[in-house]
Amino acid sequence: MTTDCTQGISSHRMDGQKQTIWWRLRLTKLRVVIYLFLALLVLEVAIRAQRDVWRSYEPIYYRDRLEAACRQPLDAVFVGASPVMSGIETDILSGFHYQGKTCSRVFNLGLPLATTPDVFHVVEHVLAKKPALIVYGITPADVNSSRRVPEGVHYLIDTSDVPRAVCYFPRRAPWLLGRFAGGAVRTWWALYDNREGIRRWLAECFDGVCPGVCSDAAQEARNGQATYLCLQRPRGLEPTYPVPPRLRYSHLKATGQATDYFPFLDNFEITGYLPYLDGIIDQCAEAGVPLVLVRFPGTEDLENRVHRSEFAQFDLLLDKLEAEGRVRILTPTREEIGLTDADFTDLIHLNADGSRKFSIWLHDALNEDDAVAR
Amino acid sequence: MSFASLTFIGFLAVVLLIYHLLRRREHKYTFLLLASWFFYASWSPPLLALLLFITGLNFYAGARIEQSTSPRARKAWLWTAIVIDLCLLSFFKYAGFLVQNSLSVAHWLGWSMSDFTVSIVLPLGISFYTFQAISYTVDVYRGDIKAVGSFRDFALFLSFFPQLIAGPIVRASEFLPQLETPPRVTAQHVVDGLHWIVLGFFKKVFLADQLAIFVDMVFADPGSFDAATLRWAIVAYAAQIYCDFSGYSDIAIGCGKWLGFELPINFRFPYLSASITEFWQRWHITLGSWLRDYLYIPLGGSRRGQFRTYFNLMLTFLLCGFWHGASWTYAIWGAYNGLMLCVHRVFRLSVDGIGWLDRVRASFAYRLGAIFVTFLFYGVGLVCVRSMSWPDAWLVGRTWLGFEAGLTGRFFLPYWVPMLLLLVLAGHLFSGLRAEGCRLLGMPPLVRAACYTVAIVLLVVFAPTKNVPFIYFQF
Repeated sequence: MTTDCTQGISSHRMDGQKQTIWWRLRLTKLRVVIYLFLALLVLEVAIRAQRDVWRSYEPIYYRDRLEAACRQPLDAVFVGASPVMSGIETDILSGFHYQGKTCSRVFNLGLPLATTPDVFHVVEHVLAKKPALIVYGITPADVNSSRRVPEGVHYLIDTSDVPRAVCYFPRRAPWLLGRFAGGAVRTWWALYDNREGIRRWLAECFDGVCPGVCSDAAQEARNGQATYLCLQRPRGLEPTYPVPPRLRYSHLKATGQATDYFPFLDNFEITGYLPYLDGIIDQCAEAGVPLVLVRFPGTEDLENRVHRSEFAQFDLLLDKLEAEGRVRILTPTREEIGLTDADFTDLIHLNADGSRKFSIWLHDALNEDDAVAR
Repeated sequence: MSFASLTFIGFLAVVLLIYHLLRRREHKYTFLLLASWFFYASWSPPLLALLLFITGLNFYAGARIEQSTSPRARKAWLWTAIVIDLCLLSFFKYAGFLVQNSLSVAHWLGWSMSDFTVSIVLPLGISFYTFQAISYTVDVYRGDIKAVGSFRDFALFLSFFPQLIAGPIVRASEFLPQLETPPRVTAQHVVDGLHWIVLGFFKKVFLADQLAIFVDMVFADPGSFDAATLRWAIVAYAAQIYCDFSGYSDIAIGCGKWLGFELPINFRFPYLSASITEFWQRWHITLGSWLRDYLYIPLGGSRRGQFRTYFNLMLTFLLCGFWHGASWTYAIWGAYNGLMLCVHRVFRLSVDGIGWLDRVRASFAYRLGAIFVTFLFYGVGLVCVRSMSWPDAWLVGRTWLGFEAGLTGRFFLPYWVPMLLLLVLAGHLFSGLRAEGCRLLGMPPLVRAACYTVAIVLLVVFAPTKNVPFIYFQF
């Protein structure tokens, strides 16, 4: 029996040894894979540690503007799409009074191509800063639910937002889930996520060592850095002063260069994104932050000729919202603000002159609002 | 779903996970077949029906050939399958071409015919899986292999997703025996598979897609560039098409290894070929061997006299040209290659056996010169297929051969083009000179891992932002 036990123990020990040898052999053969994995891991850590460097070379509006806004105390935040981005002068607006508060720290959070769902998520982030006022410069293009903007899904929402987004607009769900999954995979892999920034950084370094060899790429890197610095400021990109003729819609019309091309209102569908608009109003009400909707003006051509019916539907929507009394709505006309075709760069975006006029009007309107309220 | 996309990487990861979690061979193959059909359907769902039809037709034909005792019946089933396969291939690939040319002939003859165009979607991979199906029925007929009893196994042979869209063209005799035993993925398979996949993606994404930017720009308007730029563009196109196609094949081989299957090598450093004959033994090896075994040799090969040999070569390569594309451009390219092969055959037969010439031909200097001349003449063919029009082809082709009088365009050569071409050349010289496979496979693990890391970083950081389709998808 003792011999059996000893033999049994010996046999068990030998099996264990064989298994250890088998694993060692396997790991030896897999050394290439293990070394590669370790190298990529070290690279990931290094890239993540220098994330700010790569971002400074590859400015991304949605990400960088939201981060810049959430990094500082805010009194008033102006949200919306590119008309807001180009039409709000924070220096002019700074200092208006609203509900007894002086709003000196004003942030322009207009994002290019943004739709109402994107604005919804922006407001969600911004409400954490407890601003005194949120102003949404809204246009019909925002509520056109046939438009889908992937940047908003990549940079503004996280996993907890997905179920609600699916409920708000089920038809958009497959697109949203696909974009969200793709964006999530990108963020897990820092090398892939920051590749553009790394490429531009390498171009600048290489240009320093061998000047002139990749000057285009190096200039792209420098332009990226300059844009990134702009995006950190409350105002965002600098307006162009004095306004050259090519940035005046009136000049473009006079020289036959103006077009009626405005695809953002094509296949206009006003119902899909309404839950998001209601959501913005409700969020602000729950947080106790006043919300003002401002109907952003477009050119005469856009509103009364190119997309007349879409603007009519949009105005009906705003009238309905105003009648409900849930939100304060400002609906200025071009005449009230003093805007002409010379103040627009194209069918909808204001140039520097136009944004100055609009910002002055808005400053006074908000002050008036405050006076009326009191 | 292109290989060079994150979607494919995600798909591959899911397939590998589920495939290796499944224990039984039957379950593995069934899953792999469904995954392959899903992969094909992601390109064009309706045309999956065509793949299924060809699968069913050839499986049934193979079974009937094996079961039939009468030689006449066996031949009838064989030709039925081949004719239907080729008819389907011809319809989808050549109908538009035939209609267009018939109308041109009719107009030339003075017949009044109303102009109309036939526009048929070319099913992806049809040229590849049709040839695989034909090879199966012929091999069964010849008795080289037994007809496969399982429809699933045969369907997997035709639809195996790594090689479904753009090859390598796998023979039934190479693939079907592998299905008989459970696929075993060893550590060596994992490591080698990693090598081929990283190499394939590097060639496609970092080399081919970047060179495409320069090539497309020059060939879009060759008249606005000078002779040096045009020559660089031809060399760049040669590198692009090699990296694009061999990259795809490498990824296919690597995926195959990770699934426990061995796929044949499709490229063996073709630009080190010292003759056009050697070139076609190194370039798209599986197509060349298919044409040799199923077209050239049945036509008689070189066994029926000199004239018949040259005829067989010309016909084989004319059809090879048409296989690549339904246009006279490809037909001319194919005929051109056939002609070069005939010329080389004549040359070889003339000088073989002459003592001092044999010694000269064995020298390194001769081989170097022969490589240069081969590449020069191969480049003429490339100009033909890449140019957007015949006048452009004439302009670029004569410039390539040194007759560039009258060119007044600008010199344009981005700094990265020579760098990328140097990488392709380095790859050829590093491994190809010893006539082995990739030498990196024999390097120490640390060196290999370092090379793969650099390759991955380069292809991720410098990948073009737009997805450039694989060139051979159009075939």
